[in-house]
Parts: sequence; C-alpha cells; structure tokens
Amino acid sequence: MTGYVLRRLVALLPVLLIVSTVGFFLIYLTPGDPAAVMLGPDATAEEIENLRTQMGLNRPLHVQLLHWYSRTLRGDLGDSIFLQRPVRQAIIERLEPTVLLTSMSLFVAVAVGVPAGVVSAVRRNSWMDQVAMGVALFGVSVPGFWLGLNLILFFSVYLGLFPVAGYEPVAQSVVGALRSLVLPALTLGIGGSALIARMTRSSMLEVLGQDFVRTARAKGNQERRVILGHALRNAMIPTVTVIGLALGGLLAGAIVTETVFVIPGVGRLVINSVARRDYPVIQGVLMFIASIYVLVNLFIDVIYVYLDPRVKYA
Amino acid sequence: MKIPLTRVLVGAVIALLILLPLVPTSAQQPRRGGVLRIAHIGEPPTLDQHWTTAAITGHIMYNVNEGLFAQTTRYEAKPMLVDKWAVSADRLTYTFTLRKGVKFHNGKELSSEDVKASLERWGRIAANGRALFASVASLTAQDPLTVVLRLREPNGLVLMYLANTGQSAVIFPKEVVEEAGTGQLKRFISTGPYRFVEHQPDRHIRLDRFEGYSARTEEPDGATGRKHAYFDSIFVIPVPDPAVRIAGVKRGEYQFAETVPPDEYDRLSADADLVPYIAKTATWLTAVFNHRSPLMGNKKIRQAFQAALDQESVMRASYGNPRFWRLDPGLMPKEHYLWTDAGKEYVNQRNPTKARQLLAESGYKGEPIRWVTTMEYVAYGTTAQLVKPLLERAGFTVDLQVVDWATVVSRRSRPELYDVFSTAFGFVPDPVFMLALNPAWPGWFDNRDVNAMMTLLRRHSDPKVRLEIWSRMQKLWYEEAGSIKFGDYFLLHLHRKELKGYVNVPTHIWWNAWSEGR
Repeated sequence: MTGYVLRRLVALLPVLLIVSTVGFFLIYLTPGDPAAVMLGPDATAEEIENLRTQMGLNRPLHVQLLHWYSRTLRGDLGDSIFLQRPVRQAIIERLEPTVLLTSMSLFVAVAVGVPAGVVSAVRRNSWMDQVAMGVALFGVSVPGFWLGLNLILFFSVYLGLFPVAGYEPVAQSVVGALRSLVLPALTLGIGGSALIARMTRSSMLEVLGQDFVRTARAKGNQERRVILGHALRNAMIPTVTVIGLALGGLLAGAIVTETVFVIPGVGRLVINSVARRDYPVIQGVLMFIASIYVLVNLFIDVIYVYLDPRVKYA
Repeated sequence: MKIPLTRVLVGAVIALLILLPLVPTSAQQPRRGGVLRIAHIGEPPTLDQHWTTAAITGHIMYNVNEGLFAQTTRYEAKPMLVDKWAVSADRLTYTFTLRKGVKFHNGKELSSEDVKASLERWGRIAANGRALFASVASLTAQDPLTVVLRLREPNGLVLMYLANTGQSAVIFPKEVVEEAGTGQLKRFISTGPYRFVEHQPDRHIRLDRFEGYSARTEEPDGATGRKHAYFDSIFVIPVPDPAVRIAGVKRGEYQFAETVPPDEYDRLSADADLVPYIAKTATWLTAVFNHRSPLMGNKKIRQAFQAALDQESVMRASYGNPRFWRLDPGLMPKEHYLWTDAGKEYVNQRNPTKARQLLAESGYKGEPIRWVTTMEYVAYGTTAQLVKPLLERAGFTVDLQVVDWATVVSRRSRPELYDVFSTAFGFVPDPVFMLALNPAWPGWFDNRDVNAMMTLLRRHSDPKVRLEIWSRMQKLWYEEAGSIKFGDYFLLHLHRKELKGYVNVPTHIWWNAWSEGR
C-alpha cells in the first residue's frame, strides 16, 4: 500500500507539469494584460507599455515560461501583481473559507444525495422516487448564482436568519464563520447532491438485486439492516468515486458561489485574478487545484481498500 | 372670568401636540460614532492614487488623501492644504503657502518638502501630472511652508490640475514617496479626515477616523471646506453582484451600495428604508473611432456612421427610465460653465440616406467595421448591438466582437486590431482633461486645428474666452466625427435612510456623512 501511495504521489509531478504548461500558454495567449487593468481606463498606450516592460511582460514567452519553471521548482510561485504579496501567501490566506465551504457543501451533498438515492432505490417507481429524482434534476439544472440569490432573498432579507454576504473568520467567531457559510453551502451542496443521488440510486438497485441481499433477508435480518448494513455498504463503492468527482465540481462551483456571497476564498481569488490578468496568481491557483484533484482521487482509491476487502494495491 | 383648570390642561396638550413635531430633534444634528459599511462593485487595482486612473481608487482614497487644492460642487478649485497663494503678473510663477500645523496620519507635520516630493512623483507617473509638468520649469521648496512652481509658459489651469480628483495630485510624506521608488506606494499616509488602517483583499478596506485631523473652517462645498469624520470607521467591501449589494442595504448590513441597476429604481423608491440616489454628474456613453485604422481614418466613413444613428432610441433602450439619461450635444455637462451645444446638428441625425451617400463617396467597399465591445458593462454591449442594424441599414458591414473588459482595454491600444471600441467618459472638470481629444489616447484623434485650440485653451483663464475657444473645438470635433457621443447617463446608487450628509460631487465624499443609527 505504501509503495502504491508513493508511486501515485510521484505521478503528481508530470500532471502538474502538463497543467502548468498548458495553463501558462492559455493565460498568456488570452488578450488583455495586467498593466492596462492596473493603470485604469484612462491610461495611454505609452503608459501601459512602460508598465508592461517594468513587469517583465515584454520578454519572450519561452523566457517567461522557463523563468516560471525554475522558480516553481524552488517552491516559489511568484508574487501577485495586484495583491503585493507572494502567491503562496495569497492562497494560504484564502484556504480557510474555501476548505470550510467545500467541507460543508460536501456534507450537504452527501447528507442529501445518499439518503435520497437510497429512498429512491428502495421505493423504486413510487412517488418518493419521483420526488427525489425531481429534486436531483432541479439541483443539477438550476444555476448556482440563481439559487444563491434566492436563498439570500428568502433566508437573509425576509427571514433575517443568516447574513446576506461576507465571511467571519474562525478566529473571530466559530459560530459566525459557520453561520456565514450555511447559505453558500446549501447553494453548492444542493447542486452537488444531484449526481450523488443518482449514482447511489443506480448502485443500490444493482446491489439490491444480488444474491447476498436475498440471503440476508432469508436469514431474517430486519429490512433496515439489509439496506443499510449490507446493500448500502456495497453500493457506496461507485458512490465514493462520484463523491470524489463531486468535490472537484464543488471547488469549481465555489468560484461563482464565493463571488455571489462575497466569501474571500480561493474561488474568488481566481476569478478576480482572471478578470485583471494577475498571471502569477492564476498559475499558482491552477497548480493548487490540480494538486487537490490528484490528492483527492488518491484518497478515494485508498478508501476503497477499507470499503472493499477484495481491493488490494501492490 | 376664571377659566376651568381642565380646559387649560386640554388646551396645553393640544398646543403641545401641534407644536412638538416642529421642534428640531437631535436626529437633524450630525451624530458622531458608528461604522459605515459600503458595498462597492469590486476591488481597486491599487490604493495608490497617483498610480491609477481607476475611479474606485479615488472613491475610497480621496477620503484619506488631500492635495493642495480641491474641487467644489461647481468644480471650481479652492485651497485645501494651501493657506494662501499668489500668481506673478506674467502668470509664470505660482507661490503656495501651506497651512501651518497640518498633520499627516503618522503625526508628522506637513512641509514643503513633502509637497515637492509628492508633486514631482505625480508629475512623473500620472497622465495629468505629466501634462502639467510638461510646462513646469521648476518646483522648489522655498522654505518649510512655501512651495514655488515656475512655468515655462502660461497655463490657466494649474489650480484645476492640482484640484482634479482623477489620478489626483495628493500629498504624501516625503519618506513615503522615496520608499516607493519607481513602484507603487508601500504605505498610505496623508492628511485626510480618515486614515488608512488595513486592506484585506476580497474582504474589506478599513479607514478609521483621524483624531489629529486639521480641518479648514469654511463651509463644506464638494471636496472643499470643513471636513468632519463622524464615523469611527469606514469599511469598503467588494460585493460584485448588484442584487447582493441591494439585499445587503435592505437588510442593513451595508449602509451604501455603489451602482445598482437603474431598472430597480421604482421598486427601491417604494421601500421606506431605502434612498435611491441618482448621481449628479453625468458620464457619456461613447463609441471611439480608431483614427489610425484605414476605415475609420476615412472622414466620410466616420461621418456616415454618425449620420446613421438614432441616438435617442439607443439611449432609451440602454437606460430605460429617462431619469437616467439625456441626449445632449455638449461634451461638457450642462451644469458646467463651458457647456455649449455647438455641433448639435450632427447629433441624432437618423439619416440612413445621407449615411449611404457618404459611404458611397468614401470609396467604402463593404469591409467589416471591427467593433470591440463588452457585456461586462451592459450598456456598452447593448448599445453596440442596437447600433449594428442601424449601420447595416446604411450599408455598413459590422463585425461586432464582444469580449471581456480586460480584452477591450488591451486591444484598444493596438490600432491594427479594431476600428471602433465601446467605452464611457466620466466627468472631467475641463476639456483639457478630455480623453476624446487626447491624440495620445486610444482612438488617436489628432486634428491640427483642435490641437492648436487646445493649446490656447490651456493658456487662457478668462471664462468668456475659453467658452469661445471651446465652442469652436466642439463644433470641429463633430464636423470631423471625432467619435460618437451617444448621450449622458447617470449612475444609480442606494443607501439607507439613516445615512445623512453623503455628497456625490466631485466624487464620493464620506467625510461629513453620518448615521442616525438603526
């Protein structure tokens, strides 16, 4: 197992190399540049060009790329053009709200999606099945910003239960931090639950038709124990894969949700950086998200060993 | 006759009930204290007011920074850090005597060395600064409170340059300027009624009351006069979504929201807790012609474009409620002494026949007019989409390129990439600041006669003479079809009814604002 984990970690390097190179060219070949954004709309072409030279943006692309590789290999992601601080620091400062938001959203997605899938499968073709799958369809169809704005209107403006927007750091108030993330987590989690619900349903249907389930019932086990103790555990294997994928979707969806709810997280950082062409930050966040994806998938693979004893890694 | 006591008492109660509402309450007097939370549209690119022309930077930092002069609500330049000033008879030497005892936020007293260092920096990196300093022979700190500015040639707008709010000539301590070198400021220290405390990107910018502020004594007028910092703190929070800004003000989490959609006006007006605020200064929506392109460098093609337009319909479709727009040929706003309608015959012509004829005379062969626009500012993209069929009806072929704003800003600096681009011009206090007439600015409108008149405009200070010069310039700009002014529009902001004293001219003024509490 240790060897397997180490091999997967080593495999992270070529992934990061490809992501960083492709990302570099995509960013630098996109029109627009940070000098023009920095100087504002009334700047002349000469002023913009002077600042571009000062920023080193006029150097040939391959020179900039090599410079970026050599810096990154030393663990230096460079400095943000706009934030006047290292990219690494900018990302670390924003991890807390993003990690909390992603965790809460994942909790919502799983807490809604898995039970909905189980109920749908057990009560197949009933009204409960129709409702659960209808809610899942709604969750995957509705745009996150629309759902978020309506949650704000109802729960914040009309009922006054949650803040409209903003984030209170954990250091100031744990309750405040969680409270400020409830609506964003619902926004993200409801969308994420749809895929989990559908996968859980189809996995459960497959498992419920198997012999061992019939045997469990024949042995006189209570239906609850058959469903939750035997069937669900086996149905969770493909569902866990989907949960891992959903995490990636949650990270991506957080960009819109963080913008709507004014959460100062990594998603907000990347959208602002793209808008103002803060190249070092965009590249740094790309590397960060790619690493998260790979590590999450590794984690999921490791969990399989505990879910399914038949799975062994050399 | 003895009046019964009960009647006296009843009469007194009735009188009290009638008179009591007429007594001024303490709610009419400014209240000190509290926190002002402002929901702005996003993050400023920098907080260095010398560095950027971005309006959001000025909105925030003009409450922290001060210059030698500032603008009134009628855009006149009045002293701020200056106590008195004098101009020599030949109009080449300006002597500014600073106010004594003015403190920076770090406790240091303002001196002429600070002014010299700050103005030299501004003259080096700010476009308006460079424009003024092109005619400056020397700037000296004659003694600790006296600064002498010597010009190479007369310039009637020295004070206006120093008072302008855009990329403003604000004053920092000399050591703060020196530590910045050729880069941006590392610290934000000035003499304003609020001091900079912290900037947490994507969370807030915090300003606190400066207890050592040295206030002037004159009545407040725009950015001039007496300033009180009634709020303990001001937080400027980036809230990109306008619906969230509105919801936040409704809920009381913010007291002010910058720029909300004008079509919300009627709904917001019906809410007793909210005050929709229509900005007093107009911005003009424009399509800028690239005079370096083969197509738009052709005068008849530009004139054909101009003739084809139905500007009234375009503005109505873009802005809706007439409270938020007006058709006006004046490139300076109606409220300004330099307003003129010279060239009005070129505005809103709605004449596709004339446009077709001009196109035929121009030798136009149907090449696509590349128009770069964006939906990030909805009115820009909407206008372009509305105008496209009008142009096509007149015989143009239009290649509309809808991109993000950063791409517009990038592309417009490269003349080979476009023929027209969308933007808007904010208020400027004088035509010399006008980008549409600046040969160095994208669009590159470079007309010999207009440039010569601009030089005259800079030299003269007599309002009648300036109006005469400016009227001729404006007419020529229209004759040449320099670019297109579609019309004026006014932004809509929103604040809670408890917020008092907010002023919008010449920029967002948060000093002298207070809250009645909630």
